Amino acid sequence: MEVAKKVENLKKSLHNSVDFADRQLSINGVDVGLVYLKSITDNSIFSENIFEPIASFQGELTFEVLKKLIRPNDVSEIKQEEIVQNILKGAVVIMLSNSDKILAVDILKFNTRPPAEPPTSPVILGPREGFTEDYKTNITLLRRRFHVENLVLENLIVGKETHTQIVLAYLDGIADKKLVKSVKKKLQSIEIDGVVDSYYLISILSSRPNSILKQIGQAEKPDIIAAKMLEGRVAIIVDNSPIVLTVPFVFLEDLQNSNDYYTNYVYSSLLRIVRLVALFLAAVGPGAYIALQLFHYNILPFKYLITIADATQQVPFTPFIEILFISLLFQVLYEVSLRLPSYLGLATSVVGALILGDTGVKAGLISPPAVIVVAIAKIALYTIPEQSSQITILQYVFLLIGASLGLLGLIGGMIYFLAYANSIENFGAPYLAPFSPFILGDNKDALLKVPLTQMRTRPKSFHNQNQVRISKHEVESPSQEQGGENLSQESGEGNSSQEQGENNSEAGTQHNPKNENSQQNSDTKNENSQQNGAESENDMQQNEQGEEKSGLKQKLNEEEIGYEGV
Amino acid sequence: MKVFDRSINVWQAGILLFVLMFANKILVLPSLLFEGAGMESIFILIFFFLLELGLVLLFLALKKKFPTQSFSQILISHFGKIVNVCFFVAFMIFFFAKAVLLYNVTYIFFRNLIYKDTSNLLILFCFLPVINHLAISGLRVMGRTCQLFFPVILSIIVFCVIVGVFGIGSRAIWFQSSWMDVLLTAAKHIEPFGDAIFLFVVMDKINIKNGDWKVMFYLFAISAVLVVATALVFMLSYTYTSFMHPYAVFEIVSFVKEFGGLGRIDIIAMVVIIILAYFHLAIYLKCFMFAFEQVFPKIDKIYSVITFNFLFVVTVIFFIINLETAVTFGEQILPYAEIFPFFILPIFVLIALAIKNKNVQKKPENGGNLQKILKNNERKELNNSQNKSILQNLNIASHLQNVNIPSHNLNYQQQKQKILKKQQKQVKLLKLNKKQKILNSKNNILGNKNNISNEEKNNLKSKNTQKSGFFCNKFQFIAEKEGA
Repeated sequence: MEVAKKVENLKKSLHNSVDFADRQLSINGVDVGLVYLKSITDNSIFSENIFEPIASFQGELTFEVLKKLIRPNDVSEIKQEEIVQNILKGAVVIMLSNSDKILAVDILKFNTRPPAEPPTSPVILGPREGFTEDYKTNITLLRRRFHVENLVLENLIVGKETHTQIVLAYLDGIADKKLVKSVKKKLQSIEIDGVVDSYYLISILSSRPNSILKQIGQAEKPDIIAAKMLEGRVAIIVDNSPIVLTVPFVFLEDLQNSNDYYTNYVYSSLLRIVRLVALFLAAVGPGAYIALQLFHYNILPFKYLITIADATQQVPFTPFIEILFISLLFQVLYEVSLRLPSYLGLATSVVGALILGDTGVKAGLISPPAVIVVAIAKIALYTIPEQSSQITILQYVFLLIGASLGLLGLIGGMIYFLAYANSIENFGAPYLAPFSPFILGDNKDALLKVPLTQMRTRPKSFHNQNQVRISKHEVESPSQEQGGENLSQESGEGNSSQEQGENNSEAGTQHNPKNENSQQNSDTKNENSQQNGAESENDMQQNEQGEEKSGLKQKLNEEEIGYEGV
Repeated sequence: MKVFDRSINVWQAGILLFVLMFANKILVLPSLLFEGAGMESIFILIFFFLLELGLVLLFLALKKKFPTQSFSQILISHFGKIVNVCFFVAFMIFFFAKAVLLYNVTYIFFRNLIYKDTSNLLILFCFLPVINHLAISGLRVMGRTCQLFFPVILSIIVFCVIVGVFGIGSRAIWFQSSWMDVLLTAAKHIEPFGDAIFLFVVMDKINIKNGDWKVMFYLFAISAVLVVATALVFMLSYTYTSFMHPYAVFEIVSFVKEFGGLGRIDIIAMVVIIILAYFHLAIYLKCFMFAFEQVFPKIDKIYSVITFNFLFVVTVIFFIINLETAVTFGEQILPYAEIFPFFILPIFVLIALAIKNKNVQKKPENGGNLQKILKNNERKELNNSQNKSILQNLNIASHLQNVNIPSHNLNYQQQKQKILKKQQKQVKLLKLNKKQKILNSKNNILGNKNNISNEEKNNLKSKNTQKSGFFCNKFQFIAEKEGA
């Protein structure tokens, strides 16, 4: 078939798309056809590195010659049926009249935003990079954190109409193989028309898709994802989405914040307690206030009772209607401020808070205690923004329970909800681990946080291949011999592998505290001498034995966790 | 609706036991005991806790001897199916009665203190969905949820006791009650105890490994100490007027109500009572479910929940209407029910511990299949033509046995004796033939059936080889005898 006819057929198969472009040349009697899409290709590369060398060539143009003429490296020979796919992926397809072979040159380019600090998780200290919508950029951001061959990136294509690229990222030797297999199986089993965003995969990966509870981890920052991968989790990068998913997910992950790993551990522990209290206040606060006011006013201390009675006596609504009204008003204001431009959003907030609230109180429509209770609950809601949607729903549920059943119903509701959360196991991880089941080892980085040097093992809430994060003597020796942080500067290249291990460990601590042992596994494998390798293995065994002895609780609770949830 | 029951670890079992040690015991019991036995009622508490400890130790001993078996399997293997059913019917009644009693006590507490102007059914409506959800979600979910609340329960009770110590204003007056009073009070108020038998009901669901039993023991000891401490602080705080204050843990905190300038802090005691009541009732329901499952094995588990709910609602409403009957039930009838956990159950458990290991009935999934196959094969064997003639003779012989033959007809009697002797020999031969063929068929089955576990196969194989050896010898012996 002639090249011109082939080009015409391709144009037809792409429905005469407006961004379809073709160039046809004749070089010494050999017809050359170049086909691409203007919208997703780099025009300058095309003209300088592809079109210009071919057009200026004087000689017999064969397929082998053509391969050498093209300057970019990403050149591949493709089959007839792959032409359309390659064009759609941003390649220039080159056809010759004297050859049946077809060449594809990847010059994909589209405008993407640079990695910037995501608005959902800002940090005071720490890296400010965030994922973008381009999955290749996201892979680059991960690659920069793992200079090891153990970083596995597996490609999957999901969506009948969208053919969305999905990349499964995990650390070989750390992530559990069964976990990887089950995630892959779930993703491959999806028969959906399109995956527009990573959120589309959440309900597919969740063990209970109808649940209001969040069951899949989401993060927009590469340092968070890297830290989770080091714990043995699997990351799922979806093209066109800056949100990367991680499995398995436990509730604790949202209680932790990336800031916690870049500040003092005692302060981090304090903040986590504050977050948990805030979460409790946000969910139960308005409901408890209603329950006390409606059912149990007699158990309120006398001083508070007088204050509340004095403030609420002129309000025409019942306490439930009053609280519900204020809550809904707040929700409306929140929605408006979220969608409006920032300058208008600020104005709306002022109008809502000052005019509506203040005037409402002065007019006697709402009482000051109710405004305070709702305001506290709504502010507390955003101490853990990742959980805000779930907690908002719970807030209304508990408000209803508090108004209808009182304190007994409220506590019953809490037990019910926690039992429900306890029944969820996604990819083998109990939802409320390490609190229930209680896992001592994992509690080192739960509500309270210990120094990073004491977090020697990976989480036991779910399976992973290698439990050891920091070998025992690698942690002890810096303080004994070198005095801590200067070790990484003092230990040179010619040092023993043990020192290298220390170096790596400490360096990891300096750069990314949660990734302090990113090299642990690879270091063990890459030992120069067999003796040192054996020592390292011995350390691991000793450490494992030490962990076994460390507490009865831990051992027992490890046994309880199974893989039944997968 | 599915009911999931997965195993729990020793910590979770210990925490469930810990929770069961409270509720009534820190609420109305100290006041009631003081009314009858004064300060000496502390000894009653200690005595009952020692009895309860005995139950825990019995459970641990039983668990050590039969680590993987359920209490039902132990009962069936040692005492038979009827005893098993009787036991689990008793468990059902016991836990149901306890649930009703607990509900009555907590109901009165809530009505008096926090739900003065509300409907009677509201409290019932609060409890039922939550305890049903906990029980249906399974023992593991219940254990985990309880584990989550454990620090809250423990810290609040410890806080109450510590705060209560500041309220102690006068010295206690000991030894004013006679020993008879103490004994009578003990007998009258034994009903909150004996909850530790729940461990026997969920025996096979608890994973205990070597040395882990200490955890359960420690948790039990902590709960016992806290109950005794609460009662002691309560009695020392109110001394002579203790009997007038019915809710111990609540009263010891309200006694020091200006603590920290916060005003009333008895709300937290109320919270812990509510949490304990929920878990307590849920555990009772779960135990009822397990017992129901043993009594009615063919009925779906969910019906046990429906039965409990129906009976519970009816009984509770009846008692709400007739509060005097409820008091009579609690004080006069229920103490007799304590014979079961403190007398009958320990005796049977001790016998089971004393008897050497018996072959425990196999689980119906695998063992049931095997037994069915073997029985079918036995029937087939009997239909063989060779055996039919023997059976005919046997029928004749059995017929002859029933016929009255006149004593003067000697020939006929001799003939009859001959036939009977022949019949006995034939019976022996038939039995031996049958057993031999059954053994062969067993071997075939063991070779072919994949669904039978390897362990079972090995057991049966070893038994077969022993038996076949024995039968060969017997055959030889009979043949020699026949020849002679």
